Amino acid sequence: MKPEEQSAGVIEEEETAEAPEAEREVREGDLPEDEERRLLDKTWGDKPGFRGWLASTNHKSIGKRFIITAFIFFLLGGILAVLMRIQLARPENTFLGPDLYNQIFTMHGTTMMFLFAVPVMEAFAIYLVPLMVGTRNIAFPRMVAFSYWIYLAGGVMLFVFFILNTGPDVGWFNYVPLSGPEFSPGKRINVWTQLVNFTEVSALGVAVAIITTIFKQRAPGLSLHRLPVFVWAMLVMSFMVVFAMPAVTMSSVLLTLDRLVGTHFFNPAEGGDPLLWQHLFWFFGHPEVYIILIPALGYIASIIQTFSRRKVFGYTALVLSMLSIGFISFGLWVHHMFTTGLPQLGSSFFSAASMMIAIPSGTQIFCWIATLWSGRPLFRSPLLFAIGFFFTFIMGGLSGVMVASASADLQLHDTFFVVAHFHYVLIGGAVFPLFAAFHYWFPKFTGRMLNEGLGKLTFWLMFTGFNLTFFPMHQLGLEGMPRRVYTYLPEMGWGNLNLLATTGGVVLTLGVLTFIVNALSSRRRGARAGDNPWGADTLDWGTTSPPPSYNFLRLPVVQGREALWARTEDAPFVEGLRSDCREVLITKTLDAEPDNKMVLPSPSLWPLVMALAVTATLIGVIFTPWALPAGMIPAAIALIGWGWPKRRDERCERKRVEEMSSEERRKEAARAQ
Amino acid sequence: MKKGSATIDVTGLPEFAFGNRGLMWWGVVGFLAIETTMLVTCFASYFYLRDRATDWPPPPTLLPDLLIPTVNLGLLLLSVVPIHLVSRAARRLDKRRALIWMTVGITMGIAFVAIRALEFRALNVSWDTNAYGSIVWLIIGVHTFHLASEVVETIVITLILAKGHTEPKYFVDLTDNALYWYFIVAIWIPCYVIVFLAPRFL
Amino acid sequence: MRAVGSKLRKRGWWQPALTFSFFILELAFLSGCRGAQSALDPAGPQAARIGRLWWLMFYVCSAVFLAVSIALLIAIFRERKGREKKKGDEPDTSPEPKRERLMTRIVAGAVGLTVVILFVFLITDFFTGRALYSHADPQALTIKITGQQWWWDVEYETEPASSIVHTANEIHIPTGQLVKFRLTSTDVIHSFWVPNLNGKKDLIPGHEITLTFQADRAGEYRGQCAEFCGYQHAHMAFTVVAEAPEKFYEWMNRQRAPSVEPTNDAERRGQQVFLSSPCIMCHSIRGTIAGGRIAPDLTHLASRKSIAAGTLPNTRGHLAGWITNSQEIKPGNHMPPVPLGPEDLQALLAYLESLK
Repeated sequence: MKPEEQSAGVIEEEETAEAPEAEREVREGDLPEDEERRLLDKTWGDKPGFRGWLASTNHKSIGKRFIITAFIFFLLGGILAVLMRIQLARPENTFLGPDLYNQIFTMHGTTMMFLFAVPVMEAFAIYLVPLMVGTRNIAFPRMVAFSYWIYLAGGVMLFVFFILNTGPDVGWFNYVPLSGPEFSPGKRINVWTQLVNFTEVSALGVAVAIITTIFKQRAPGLSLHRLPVFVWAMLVMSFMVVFAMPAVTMSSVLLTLDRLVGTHFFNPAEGGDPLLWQHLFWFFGHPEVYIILIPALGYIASIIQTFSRRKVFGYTALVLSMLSIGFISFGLWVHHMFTTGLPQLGSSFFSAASMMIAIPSGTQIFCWIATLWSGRPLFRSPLLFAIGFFFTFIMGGLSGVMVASASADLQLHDTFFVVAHFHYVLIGGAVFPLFAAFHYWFPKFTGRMLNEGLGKLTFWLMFTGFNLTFFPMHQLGLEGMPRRVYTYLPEMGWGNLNLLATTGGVVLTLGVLTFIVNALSSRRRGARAGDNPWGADTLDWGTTSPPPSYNFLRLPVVQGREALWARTEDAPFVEGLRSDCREVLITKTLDAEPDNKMVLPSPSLWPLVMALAVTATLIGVIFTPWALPAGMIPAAIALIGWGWPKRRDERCERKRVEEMSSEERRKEAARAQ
Repeated sequence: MKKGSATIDVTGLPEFAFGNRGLMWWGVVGFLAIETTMLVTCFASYFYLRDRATDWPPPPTLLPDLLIPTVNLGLLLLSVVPIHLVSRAARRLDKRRALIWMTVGITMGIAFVAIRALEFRALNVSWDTNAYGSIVWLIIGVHTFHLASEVVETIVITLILAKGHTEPKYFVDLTDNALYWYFIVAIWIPCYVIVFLAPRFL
Repeated sequence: MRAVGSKLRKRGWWQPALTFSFFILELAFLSGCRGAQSALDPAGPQAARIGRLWWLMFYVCSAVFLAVSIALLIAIFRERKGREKKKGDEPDTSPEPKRERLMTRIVAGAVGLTVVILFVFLITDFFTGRALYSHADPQALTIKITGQQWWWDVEYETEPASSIVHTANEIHIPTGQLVKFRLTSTDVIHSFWVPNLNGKKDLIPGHEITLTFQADRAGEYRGQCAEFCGYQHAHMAFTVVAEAPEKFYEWMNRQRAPSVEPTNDAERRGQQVFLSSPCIMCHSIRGTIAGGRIAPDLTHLASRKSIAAGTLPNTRGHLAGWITNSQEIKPGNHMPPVPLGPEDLQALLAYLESLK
């Protein structure tokens, strides 16, 4: 290919392969192994250079970016938390004024929920699910790339506006009328509503891709009843995203309309109602916390199984309890609204539903204890974090039962008791498992082991710091300290417990810093990990660390629920996928029998272009409603560019219908029904 | 890597498949689920606001007109026929028939969008008059947004096909696109009932 | 697979033991909380009911936590030496149907116990809720509370309407009587919470929510806004003064009267300053032309114990600071600074302090 032609392909990755070879199909087994690996890498890998990086549609590249970006947002959210703790350490502290404090607590919640917790869980799924189900890339890779860019753009936008003193300042729950046009003039709330749109579009796109990957791209033999608990967790999470996130998107649309074009959804003077916001928001907001928790249960399942050296006890019970948590979580949003004057019977119903969640959660805990009981636990840092998860999560679960009681909640609601409760559930239930997952999969991501000593130090610092920070908050809440106050009077007597909490925050911060030091130094100098350093059972450990761009030289055939533990010496493999095309095997939804093949799209800059178009539109909407119709045009152009056929992709496609004889056509059509 | 004793050879498997055997179908269904949830959220908001009000529509707002919306509903329901024929032709890899019925479907879609502009006027209320006006505008607005993007999408696929890109996967896209069209039509029925009929008996 | 030494398994038994004792220590924290804004120091039947429910849940949950923790610790530290020596770190995939059946029974039993405990909680919760809701006595003293950014408007709904008592941020109630509150808001959502007397209920524009409670013990109970309501959410408190009925009705009668006439020159000048300043746009003093309704009623300001919604004690110094620049004390509040000469200020303070 001539150089000028190459530069002409501004958007599309040009095919640099030797053109004539494209005529011949190259299939697995046609070439010697090293040549085949090279060809596969050329087919599946990112193209070189910065442009190749931008255009990547490889699930591991995107997943890694997603994880790192989410982790950076976690650090930013953490810094905000430390600032809040400094402010609250003493009564009538003047470190932060009310304006800045309100922005900071809003930014902290918004960052942790929308920019850290959900994205990082989905990021792990993007990286690990295709490996665990034994395929070469995630379904709809361009949409996943788009989801990453839009997420990044949303997060950057939020922090830029925050630095410009236009950060949202009425809480991550953004209650109207406080967030409405009358009581929050200016652009701060518009920034919040647009951030929600950014992150929801991103989360929804990824969720659809994960569901499709899990249902259609599993390796032969990986029938649903053999699916690792981790993958089940990601499946349940994705379904929950699909049904919960539209509610918050819709509510942010309603609020945007109220603020921009004068609709009256939440205006009681014109027939609207502020409580409508709370219903819509919590219909999303409660499943949201389980969207964060359920993937964490998946990590725990993987880690417990690996480190107790036996298959997890009660596979069916674990899967069913995750499914039921998913279902029940949609029926208890009203427990955020017990103080809004509901009829008692309604409250009792939602109390019962909320407490009911404790049954599947308890079942999970009991199954894991049984697994550890009958196994031979190995104390490596991932297991340590998992055990830390048990203690904190049980604690958070029990305080959750307390706040689920409608009567007790009248006292506990909106106090520091609730702050303590949900940090026990979210840090205990999601961040500890996440750090367990970091320590567990770090060797897979990088090919190097984390330092075990530093890993244990990280755990003890985080665990001690966490409990010192949040345990006293239970008592603060019972002693009457409301949430979201930027200061308190000295005579309230809350000073010492708050100081203790702040001290704990420092220790917790040290723990996170230890982890960063560990990760940065081990990335280059850690011991080589090998394929499967923990002797784990899932397919992700059945390839090199880090995995090659094509994941597997040959797709594995799964012989049992613990795929690698059940693998026999003469285990069969899949053969016959093309090595020169991004061809993946599509299997049947239930029993994963090979069904057909499909060529996944190639790397492309169009997702990035699309993300830029959507970003410009959404940011424009902060200022004027006209940005929406104006933004449709570039977005439509990007969408057409994205979907328009590219000649180099057609090389891998079945021949064109026009060239078939009618007999051939009939035969092809019959096979495809 | 040593070759396993028994390999599963997938060379001969079909390279495209219709319906839920293909990936695209799952993507489309995923987005249908998302969009249904969005519209159901709108419906729930409608009934919630209805419940808060004493009179519906709140006076002095008039009831919406019925003539144009009903005509348009009929037109939209009718458009299922050509789209179904497109889907059938696509499943037989019949480019010519698919294109013909596609054109008919698109024409009906464009006509529908055009009449939609009149439908907003038939509401007899503005979005900023009261919460009732806001919610009915929202429901129709969200639906129109989906409908318009579906028509554009259909035009693009038709152009791809007409331009001579006749790989089988575009025929699969036609059937998945038809699925989306059915959804747009089906979801309009509750929208119509809620916006135009419900105020008469709620 | 790399060997993961069994040495590792043996080391560090003390670590989780440490964790565990740490938790026990933490639990010990939660004892003997007393205070003027504490849910654990109930002063009336409603708060006491919730308190009993809370303590029930606390003890049961603590027991559950202990039991599960102990099971977990045993599970972790229980060694199965014989088998371990034989098999090293190889995963154990051999089926053990007998053992599995036993474990299934134990896990099912634990789940069953969970269900029973939840049932007990739910039923207790239901009856507690009923006790809280069932006191809808139409004869009860009714007080309308309107939340405003960031203070509380208090109206006693007594007959006749002309003699309604109107005050702010300080609510007097008779002991031993059930008092009914009608809660609403004219701006954003607030939440009315006196932990010693009952749980909280929100004040929502366009809604009216009822809360009842009774104080059995005379005393002053502090309440605070519990729903985030903007800049000064932190400084939106109030006091409930529960006193013997005769004292309460005395107070009512004093509050019902219009404001006292100024009795000396300073007070007279102060009244002039007040009535000729922008103060009257927002505040009202019954018996004068000041009739603003968007800020606290000042008719009997001097009888109140604090100013700025429970933020400062009601002293001359604080009042002076508040009038000249309230923004320094409570940034963002809706009262503009009032520029006054020192003499005018002193006169105004004298007048305000006379409003008993």
